[in-house]
Amino acid sequence: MSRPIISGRYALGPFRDAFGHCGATADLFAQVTANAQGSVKLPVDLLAAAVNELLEWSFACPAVTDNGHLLLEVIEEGQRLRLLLSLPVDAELAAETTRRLQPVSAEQARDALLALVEHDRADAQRWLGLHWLQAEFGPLHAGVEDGRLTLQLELQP
Amino acid sequence: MSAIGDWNEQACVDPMLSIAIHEGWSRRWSHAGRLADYVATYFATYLRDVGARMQAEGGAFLAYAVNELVENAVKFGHGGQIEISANVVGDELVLHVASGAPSDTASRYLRVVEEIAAGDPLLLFMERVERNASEGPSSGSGLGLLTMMTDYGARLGWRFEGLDEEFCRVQTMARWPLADST
Repeated sequence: MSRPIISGRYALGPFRDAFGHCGATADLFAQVTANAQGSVKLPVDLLAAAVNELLEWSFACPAVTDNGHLLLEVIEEGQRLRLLLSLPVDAELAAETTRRLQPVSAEQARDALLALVEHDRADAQRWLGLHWLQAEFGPLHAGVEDGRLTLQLELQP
Repeated sequence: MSAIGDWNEQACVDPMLSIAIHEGWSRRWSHAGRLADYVATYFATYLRDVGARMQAEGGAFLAYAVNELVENAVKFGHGGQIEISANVVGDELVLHVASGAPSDTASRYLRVVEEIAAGDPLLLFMERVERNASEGPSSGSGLGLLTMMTDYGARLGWRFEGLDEEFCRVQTMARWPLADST
């Protein structure tokens, strides 16, 4: 059974006015989710870290236009939580993100993260967060539709 | 049903910020204060650019209004979805809260807001304070709504949909002038 707990819609212009929106939003989503009376019990700090990492990547993400919006949602599915984030990106970034987030084993995800950490290049650094999420939590699914990139992360207690 | 008070349908379109706490998860008093702080902080960046006074007064208005309206939604609702959105439309900061409620409860709320919309907020505020002092605090007196109008200069509007059914949808809008306060 799938039940949304909390969702948010953010106009990208105001959202990207302050880096602090990421942490504050992550804390809100984590607190509301942790207080929800469902069967899934994940530590608040873990939830907040995952949401924050997705948002920080989005904050720095070169979206097609600041006139678009970012969607964020936490859904309970049985014993799992699904984090879902979507925002407008250009075709190049969409292709790069989906290429990098191909399904891999936990070991492969850790290896990919370590390989990235060893690079100093700025373009490598910007992908650290997403690879950390894959290594820490499991597969991070990427999909593209109508110019929007959707990232989905499953969290299990 | 048509709108009551200072309702602006256009202000609900494409808000800068929109949060929904979904069905079944909403009966948490602590969410009201948490959401209030969050929305006020979120808009602090925007209001800072408008002016330091705007940042302080706008933040105070948002914190009070979100807390008040979400508390009402939790208190009188049926545990359904609560949606909060905030926007800047022209020279107004607009807060909009929508939730579901049992229609008998919403009907009592409707009578309260109709009285507020038709009356003088300051006179009604004094009357409620005196009544509460003599009879004890009364839930649903509208004092929180009147405080938004008298202390913060907000204009309020409402929409009620489905009052003839078991549950209905209640929307409250609070509009705060950015320009007048500078």
